[in-house]
Amino acid sequence: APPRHSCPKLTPRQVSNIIRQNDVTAEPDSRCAVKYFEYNQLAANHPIEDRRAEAKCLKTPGMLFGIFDGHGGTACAQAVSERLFEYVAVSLLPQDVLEDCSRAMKSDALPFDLLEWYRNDADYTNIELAGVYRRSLERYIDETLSAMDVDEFDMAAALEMAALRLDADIGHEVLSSGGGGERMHVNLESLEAAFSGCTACVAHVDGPHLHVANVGDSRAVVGYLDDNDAWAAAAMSRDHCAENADEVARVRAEHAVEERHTVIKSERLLGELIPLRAFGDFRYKWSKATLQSMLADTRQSRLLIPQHYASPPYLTARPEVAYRRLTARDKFLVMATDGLWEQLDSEKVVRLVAEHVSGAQTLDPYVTHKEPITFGEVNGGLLARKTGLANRAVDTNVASHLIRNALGLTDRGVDHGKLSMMLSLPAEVTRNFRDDITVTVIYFDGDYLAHN
Amino acid sequence: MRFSCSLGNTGQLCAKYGKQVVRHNSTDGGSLPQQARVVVCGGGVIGTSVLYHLTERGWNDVVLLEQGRLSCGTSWHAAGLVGQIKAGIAESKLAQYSRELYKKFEEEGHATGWKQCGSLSVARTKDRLITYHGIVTRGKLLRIGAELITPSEAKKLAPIIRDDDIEGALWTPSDGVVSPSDLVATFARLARKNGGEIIEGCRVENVLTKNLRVDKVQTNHGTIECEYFVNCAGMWSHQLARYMTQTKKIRVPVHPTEHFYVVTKPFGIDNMLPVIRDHDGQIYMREWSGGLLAGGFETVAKPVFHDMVPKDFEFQLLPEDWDHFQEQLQAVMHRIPTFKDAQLRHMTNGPESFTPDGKMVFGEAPEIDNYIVATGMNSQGIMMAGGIGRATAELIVDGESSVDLWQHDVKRFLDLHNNRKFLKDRVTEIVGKHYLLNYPLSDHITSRNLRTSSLYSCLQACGAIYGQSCGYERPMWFDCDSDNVLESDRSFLYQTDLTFRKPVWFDAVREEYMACRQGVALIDMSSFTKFELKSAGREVVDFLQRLCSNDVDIPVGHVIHTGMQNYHGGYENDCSIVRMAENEYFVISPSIQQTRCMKWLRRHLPEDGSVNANDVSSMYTSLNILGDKSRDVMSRLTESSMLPADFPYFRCRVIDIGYATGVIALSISHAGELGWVLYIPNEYALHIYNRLLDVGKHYGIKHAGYLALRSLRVEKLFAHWGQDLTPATTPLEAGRAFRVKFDKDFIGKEALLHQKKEGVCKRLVQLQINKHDLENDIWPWGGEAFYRNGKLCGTATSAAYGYTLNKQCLIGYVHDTDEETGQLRPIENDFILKNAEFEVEIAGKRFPAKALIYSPKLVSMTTATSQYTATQPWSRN
Repeated sequence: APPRHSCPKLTPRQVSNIIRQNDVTAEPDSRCAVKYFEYNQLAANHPIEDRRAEAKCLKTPGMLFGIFDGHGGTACAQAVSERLFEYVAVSLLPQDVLEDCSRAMKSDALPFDLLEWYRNDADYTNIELAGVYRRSLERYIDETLSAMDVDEFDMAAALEMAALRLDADIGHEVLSSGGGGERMHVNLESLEAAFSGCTACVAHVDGPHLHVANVGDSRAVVGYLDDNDAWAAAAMSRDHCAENADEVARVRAEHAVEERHTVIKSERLLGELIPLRAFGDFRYKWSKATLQSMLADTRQSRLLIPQHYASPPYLTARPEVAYRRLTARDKFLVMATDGLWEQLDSEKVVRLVAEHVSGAQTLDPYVTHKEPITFGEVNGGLLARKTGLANRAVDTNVASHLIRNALGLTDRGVDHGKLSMMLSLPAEVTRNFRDDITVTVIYFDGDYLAHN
Repeated sequence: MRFSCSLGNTGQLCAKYGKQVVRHNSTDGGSLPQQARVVVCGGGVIGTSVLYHLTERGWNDVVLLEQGRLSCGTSWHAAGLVGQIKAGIAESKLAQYSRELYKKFEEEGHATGWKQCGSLSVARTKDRLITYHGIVTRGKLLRIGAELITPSEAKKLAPIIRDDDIEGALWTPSDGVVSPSDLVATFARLARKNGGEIIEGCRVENVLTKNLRVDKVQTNHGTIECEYFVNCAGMWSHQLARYMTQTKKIRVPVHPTEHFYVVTKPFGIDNMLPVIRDHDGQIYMREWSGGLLAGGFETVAKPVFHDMVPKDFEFQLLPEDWDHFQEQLQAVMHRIPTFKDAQLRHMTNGPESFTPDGKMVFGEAPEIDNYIVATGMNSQGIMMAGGIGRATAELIVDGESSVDLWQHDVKRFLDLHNNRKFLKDRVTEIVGKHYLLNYPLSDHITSRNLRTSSLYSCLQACGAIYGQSCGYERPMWFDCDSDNVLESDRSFLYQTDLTFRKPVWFDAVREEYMACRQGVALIDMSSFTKFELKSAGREVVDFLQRLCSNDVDIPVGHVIHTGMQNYHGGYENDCSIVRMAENEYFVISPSIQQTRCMKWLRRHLPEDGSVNANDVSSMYTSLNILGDKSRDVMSRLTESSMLPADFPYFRCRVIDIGYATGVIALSISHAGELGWVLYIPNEYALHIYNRLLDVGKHYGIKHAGYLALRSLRVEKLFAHWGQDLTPATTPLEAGRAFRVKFDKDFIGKEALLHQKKEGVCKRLVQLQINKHDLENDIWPWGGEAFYRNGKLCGTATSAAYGYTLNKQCLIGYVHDTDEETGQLRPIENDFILKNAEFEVEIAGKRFPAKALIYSPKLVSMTTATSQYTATQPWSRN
């Protein structure tokens, strides 16, 4: 930790202003399984590389929630946050609706809306590439229609298809553009999206059916009351990173035995990338030849071929899909980027949200941290914890509450000194102490779930 | 002198089995006998003590089953304090015996860790000192030396304590400590030596019954035929009783909670440091290997194992919770300043079992014969083990225990007490009550508003302040002035209203009292226990004649007060009996008799089923309408004649009131005033209540509560069962011989005749205090010492202010102790009435008092009524 005296102290109000500046509470306009949801984002990068999105499907029942942790720039995360839900929505459409959409898209006169977005005034969309995006989507609709499977609909397969298709399109939009200097001019933005990368964690809530599709190391957790009325966390995703042994095994199995030690090195893909699945990042997907030609065309040093690049692709945007049938005992879903989970584990997050709802607050059990220890020292520690509890800052937005705890929690409760330090770090070192954090908490409507 | 009957015909049953040991073949858990007279379940300090005491009485065909290892549940982590003077005389006697036994064991070379270091309790407030005065009084009665000392004297006894903030201290030099594990091992070893058997690793899976009597015990190693089963399973006792009984579940309302103490590393603590209790700080401390062991009883405890004790919970502890213990830790550091620098050795958080009222759970289960319960020690297991072990052995061998434990009897409970939610919520409060100041009239705040009369909300709107008895909310008094009567928590007494001095309700209750005498008042008495007894022919008359000491063969429509005596002649119950028809009776008993009395009736019912006993307590709302104007009010309520000639005292008529029919009206008031108690089918209660208020308002009818009733009855020397009358007191001692008819046969007659010949050793009296300053003196609340010519001669069982006499009145027994032997000598009335100067000691101050053995003649407010007195025969006209 940096020496505290070097950090300017913020007042509690300043701390709260920083923490709360992006927090939003919203509720769906009609009764459904989602009672309301709250989100917040805190930047560590300048600008923040995380994105999020929330929308209601208009042609099918259900709502979509997503968080996207970008790296190497914001372009990929921005693109995926704008586009993935449309691809998902298309994948969910039955044939007749799909045909209507196809017609509507081809005629500018017909209204065409797959989604109703819950955007706030800080969100933006990429106007310049709207046409490119639309053409890709149109093609996806047509191809889906022609390849329409008469077999039973499979939600997991649909979500996988949507993600993979979007990722392919992001790459395709770079490669398939016209030639020469014009290409460079037109598609610099597309190129940015393909150069950079992002993880995605998307939840689809339709009545009691909850699906979470995850690509990368963000995480979704359901907080529920177990049979003993105790709070418990149900994981809805697995982190795709080197700490996940299954994931490491998957990656290694996809490549030759000789690459065993190079494909994941220093807990990173090819010694470079932390998430083992991601959108974009075509530097780990395209063939050597493609990369070399790109490099020649663009002179983008970012496209330098990674070491030990023997058998691409190394990276995929194929999501892992988890399903949970919700009951009235399932109270909320927390989705957050790894910036939160680095500081708090799933159980603690569920406890913090549950306590935020009930207005109570507890700490981890006190443990005597040294030996020998006197009772005076023990009592001093306990009193400090009591003060911490009494002084707890109350964020009405639960996402802010989680962010505050992620940055400020000590064994005595949330510590203002620690918060102040974490929020007033010099810009150039901030990223060494914390990551961008995006948190979305979706509260389920227990009565609705109990009666539908 | 003992009578062995209350457990049935013990002697005959025992002869059924010889000591002929046939064994199951078993690989683990040792070899299990196929039969035993007694199977004790639970190898903690209670179970091993029970086994030891049974073998000491010569019953060696007895076996103890322990599912894990001896002491593995709670006993092994007990703190081992042995304090003798408890909240009640009975449990003090048990603890006193325990202490003598442990001391004897140690002297005979059996390891117990007994150390007579004495105990020192410090009082932070003057109110706390008042309770210490009560302890000194009980100590005197039991001849256990205990004295109040100054702060500096306390400091001399325990130099490590801080004494600048205490008002005084209590010093009991004969108290001490033991080492619980050693004690369990000693009980077990001695029991084995006497021929008792202990089998570890043997789990009881089912208690089988035959004709609702214990028959066999099924275990994981086979089945044992037995006569008696003793549940000493501590924190397992509830689930053992609930789930592991063949015919029906047994109520053992016990719930474990977490209990915390810390132990320091050695820091030069004197081996003989007294046990220190700082009740106001809710903490205790004892020496432990040159350091200290310090624990506490926090205000809101943490229940644990609500669903089930986890499998194989042996020698295990619960997770530390330092935050929960912090206030007690702070209190310890406050009392012993050097504790701050002492080093932590460990914190212990172990489960302890608590009960709904903080008293033990002891006795024969009302559901199944020969199923004995000895559990729910409320963290007092080590102190109680010797005494409760002996009492259990006596209950089995003699039919009853030598120390009467009716307050701890398992038969005080109803089903509601066994409700797991009720228990869980209630025990959060019981733990703290162990040390918190127990003010008069303080009541539980958890698990309330459970049983309520149909008029509860009406009375609450009128300002009723409720008190709970057997889960039933009864109006104690009416706070008519308060603005916030509709606030729900105002219907209980505030903690801040509680005091040892003049209470907040003094004037309000005077008004109610006056209405009960001179005007007309209304008391909701629905909580009373009500039974219907019937037979085809005269069987019910014969049955009740045998159970009641008074003559119940009264004319139809008559009412009589009678005791139901036990085989000692003591009061098993005291009730009002109504003859509804030639072959039908209506029996009204105190609320706390509901389970106990039904068990007593069922035990003696004719085996041919010819008498039918039915509990109808919940069917009726009971309203007591009393006072000089009650006859006028009643006359306007009903078309039946209420004239003295048509409806004299002690009669019963079934009448119509308003539009309602079938109201049972009794011309008694339970207060010695003119009055009627109406037993109203619940659905008519509101109708009649509204009619009553309508008619009564012209007569100034007032609501009254139990405090007014108490004042009325204590002033007139009416004794109540559960306070002044108990299984250990007889009608001769209570001055109610006139209600005993020796010309017929009844249970207890032999004992009473014997007592009549030998004379009584105690006598119920009323003491009226002459010069008590209501405003400045501490009030009497019960338990105060009586002195006769300067010599301790008894204690108060009830106390109340008499608003007619304008005096503090106390009821209690006086006795004459032989100074040398400690034995009680028979006394005559003259012992009280001649050459006797009585004093009452309240919180250390003595007040001269006048003693009466008959009800005082109170100045009647009007001449309309002749007065009924409880202590003299009432001639039926």
